[in-house]
Amino acid sequence: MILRFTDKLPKALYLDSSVILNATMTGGRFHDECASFLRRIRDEGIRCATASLSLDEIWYILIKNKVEHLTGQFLVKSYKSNPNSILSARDDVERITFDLLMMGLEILTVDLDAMLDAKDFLWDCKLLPRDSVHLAVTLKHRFKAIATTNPDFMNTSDLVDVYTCNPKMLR
Amino acid sequence: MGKIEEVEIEEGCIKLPVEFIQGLKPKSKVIVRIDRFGLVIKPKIDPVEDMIGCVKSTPKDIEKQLDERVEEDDTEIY
Repeated sequence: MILRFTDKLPKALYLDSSVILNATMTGGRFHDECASFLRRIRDEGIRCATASLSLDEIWYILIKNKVEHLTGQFLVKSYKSNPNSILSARDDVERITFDLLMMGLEILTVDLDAMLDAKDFLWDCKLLPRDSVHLAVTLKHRFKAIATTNPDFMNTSDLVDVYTCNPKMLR
Repeated sequence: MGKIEEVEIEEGCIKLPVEFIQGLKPKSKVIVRIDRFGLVIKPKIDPVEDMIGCVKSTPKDIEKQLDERVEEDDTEIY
């Protein structure tokens, strides 16, 4: 089922990196909605978790944002000519990682079982590989709901409840 | 407040940099945590409020960026 961020929440929720990044970055299309959603999760004491690979996604986008802003070049080009360029994002990465841990976000491991399940979800749900890993970890750890702004997760709404604020998904 | 890179231990007590202490208000609480890099001491703040909007950015399609993270080309942005 596709649900709104404002609908009744379950006791436990898998948080996709898109929600965290939108809340963190002022330029995120869904910044206000995701910020309110994180506050609601905190206020209602909802148990939240995400896969370890979400941290990698968050770090990547934070680094990309900072390096591209400072250099005017795409991250890959900038990094290849000067690997030190990523150091400019260090404070953002350290701060947000620490905040995520302090807010009590559980970091779930991605093991072989989850990866094999993820392989099947590629074909069953027509998901791209990373999204299929997120889904596999969600289900393996018995979460029944996922919060995301990524419309590709619409294909998973038969398996988990999908909470979102993305109007594309709520049509 | 600057990050503490090193602290001294004197007579069993941890000596913190003056700048760190001066950055705290009276009755401030701190969070002390041991992680793989050692002892981490930070002023106690609401981590959710600290995180929200802490990265100033131009408008971003984050969903697209997550999808296309390895598809950048070598052209200039500007």
